[in-house]
Amino acid sequence: MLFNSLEYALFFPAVILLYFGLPYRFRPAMLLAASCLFYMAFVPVYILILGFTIVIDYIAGILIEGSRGQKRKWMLVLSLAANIGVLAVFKYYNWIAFNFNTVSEALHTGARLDFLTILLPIGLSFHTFQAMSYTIEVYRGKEKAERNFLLYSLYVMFFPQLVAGPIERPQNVLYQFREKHDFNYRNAAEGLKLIAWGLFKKICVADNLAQVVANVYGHPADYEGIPVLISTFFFAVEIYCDFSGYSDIALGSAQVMGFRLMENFRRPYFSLSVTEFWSRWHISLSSWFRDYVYIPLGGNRVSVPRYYLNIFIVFMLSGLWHGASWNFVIWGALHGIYRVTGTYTLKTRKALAEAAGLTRFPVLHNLLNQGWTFLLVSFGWIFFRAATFADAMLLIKGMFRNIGPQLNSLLTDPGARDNLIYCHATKTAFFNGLGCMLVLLLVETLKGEGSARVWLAQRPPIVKWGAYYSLILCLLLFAQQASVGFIYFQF
Amino acid sequence: MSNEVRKFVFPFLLALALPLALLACYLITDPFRILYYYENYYDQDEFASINRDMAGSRRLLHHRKQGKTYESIILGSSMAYCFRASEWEKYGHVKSAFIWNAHGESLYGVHSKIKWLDSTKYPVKNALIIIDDQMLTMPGDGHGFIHLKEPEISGGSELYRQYEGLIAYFNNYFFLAQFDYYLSGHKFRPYMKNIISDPRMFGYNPVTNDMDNLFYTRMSAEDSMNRNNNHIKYMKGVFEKNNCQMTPLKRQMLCEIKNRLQHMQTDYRIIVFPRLRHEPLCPADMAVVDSIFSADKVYRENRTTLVYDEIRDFEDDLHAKYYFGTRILKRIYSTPPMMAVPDSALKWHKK
Repeated sequence: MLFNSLEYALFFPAVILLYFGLPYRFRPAMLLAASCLFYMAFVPVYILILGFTIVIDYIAGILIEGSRGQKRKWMLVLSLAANIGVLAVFKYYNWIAFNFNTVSEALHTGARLDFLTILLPIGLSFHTFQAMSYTIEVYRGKEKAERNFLLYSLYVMFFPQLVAGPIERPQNVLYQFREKHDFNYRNAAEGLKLIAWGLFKKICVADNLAQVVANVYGHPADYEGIPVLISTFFFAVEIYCDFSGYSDIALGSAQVMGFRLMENFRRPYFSLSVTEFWSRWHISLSSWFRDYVYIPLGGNRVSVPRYYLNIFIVFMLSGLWHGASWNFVIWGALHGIYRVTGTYTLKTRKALAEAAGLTRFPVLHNLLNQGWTFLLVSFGWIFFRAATFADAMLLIKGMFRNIGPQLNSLLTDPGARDNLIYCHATKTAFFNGLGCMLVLLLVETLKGEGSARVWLAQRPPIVKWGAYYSLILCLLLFAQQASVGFIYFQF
Repeated sequence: MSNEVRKFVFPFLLALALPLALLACYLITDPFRILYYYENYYDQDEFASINRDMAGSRRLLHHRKQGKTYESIILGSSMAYCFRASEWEKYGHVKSAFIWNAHGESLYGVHSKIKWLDSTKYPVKNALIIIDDQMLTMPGDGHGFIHLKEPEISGGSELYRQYEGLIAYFNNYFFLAQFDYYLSGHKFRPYMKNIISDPRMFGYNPVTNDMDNLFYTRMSAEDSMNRNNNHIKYMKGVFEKNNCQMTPLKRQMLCEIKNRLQHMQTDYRIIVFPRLRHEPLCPADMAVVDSIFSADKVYRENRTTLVYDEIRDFEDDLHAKYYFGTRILKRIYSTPPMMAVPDSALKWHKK
């Protein structure tokens, strides 16, 4: 069930009414049933896989807590192996088989792995990582094993964050399922506003821009120059609005019921460096890798080459987490290179900025850093979005080709706009997406590091309600009308 | 009710007030004429695009309930506009003709209509089916309210159609243009072209469901020529290819159409009609059509000479003026089927 669908518009109010209408003791069971229904709306049978990992990790948690020494470690290893095994079969097996067969063919060994005809369960990487964080935290002794199977299941399956995060930690969420939530005006109002803002990002910005992006990235051989630049820029905005829009709806849905989920995005495109970008983008995944991979590898308390290697390993794994494709590995490696190079050249860059006098103009200096970071990140997105490595290379090679003649034809032939600017998408989608993107940029610039909702709540009613009605009108009038899936569902 | 709930209700209702007010506007104005039945779907107050299938189907159903039926029916897409019921009555020697076409009519649409006619024992003595390049593309119901079939005929979902109508109402271009149109006292401004329609530009016969775009009909032959000639020049005389679309399901639909027409003892003709800038329809698809329907029923057009000689008879790439359709009717009904010979302007390939 998509958050931007009519089904969810009916499902969510029904869940809210039931949740607050039922006695406290029945609420977890009701939430679990609702979460099952939500998940089964995609492919019903895959709930069995989810059920399998839930049972394994529930038992593993209790066994880990009750054991000591090597046995405790082995229990953790077994539960992690079960989780990673599920990922390996459903997400990575066909990719591994493809690579094995390619190498085997090149070496003429004759060995061959058959492909599996299976669909990737929606949000598998998200709930598997959330389940793993539970067993690791129990192993580390930071969280007690949950004895209540229903509550543990809800920890993994809570519908707002089930299919695309935020990837929660047991310390942050499990105890909340024991709390008694009464209907609270502030939570409901703030939650609904967050849902509306998330919907705006998704259906007004991302889905409209997606039409332009899909045309170019779907037919990379047909485009060069300006359309490639436009669609690459649009994709950077699209993926942010798609994913952060999902997170906002998830956080808002949970907040209406009184649950607090972790923040997943903090204006990432305002980052001054790639390092900062990763502390603002998909925060729940970045912190997962930091806590469970980077720090156990030694973090920065090791030799400099090892420190760089640690950073690189984390980004490679992060790339692989996103999808079973070399493009994602390259995307991860590229960010690893950005991070390592950024750290390595930090002192030199600071000295250069000082020498150039840029530090005396902090606003300009920040803008340059933000622009450069945005360019680096956007370049990385090409590998993320392109269907194959060859497509990505085709787009990169054609990116700056023929820009002069294209600009000339734009000035002389109005018909050229369809190909060069709109990239054969509808004008409606192009301008709706562009207009809404500017609104988003304005809001994110004005709100700074604060909350637009808090700022707005303090304004006079006419301003406040003017903004609310404008948002409602945008949702009604500028939305892409067909329900489009979320990009991160595939992970 | 707790204090918290009470505190929530007023602002929540205030937030809902705007969408509810807009919804009320929709329910009152019913711009697509989808909510209620109308005697005339294209009267002088109508400015929005009407689902052509809905207008025809509701008319037919309404008449049926009153015990009235049409004897002769024309099926097809908007290309079928050029076949006027009155002209068919004259040249085809048929009685009480009705044009039951649809926007981008699909094979699914024609199939469900004929199935409905047969299963409800509707007494159809004559039928014309106009096949164009779009018809063979879709085996199911279309997307968007304008293409959805009448649920009572096709068995589709009425709720879904209403939902699609509501979605179309909130298209920002349409939404703003219609408010401007209302508030300006029904003034049609140039920017509204392609968003809403100027009702004064349409001639409509509510009895036969014939429709005429007066803008094009009134256009001089010379203007039509220039308009379409530019288009052809732009295309550099290269005709677009029609991809083959036939599938086992579509073949099965065609067979059922034939069987049901035979069962109703309907005298029918099939006219294959490509667009102005298209090549003839895919030969493999046409071979299937020919093999299913008997040889004297299928009339096909060869495009090669048409664009230069008959271009003045076209409103645009897709739609011909009614006298073009009339010429075809004359040709079909005045010539023994196996003897129809292409004239200098049009080449009619007959089986």
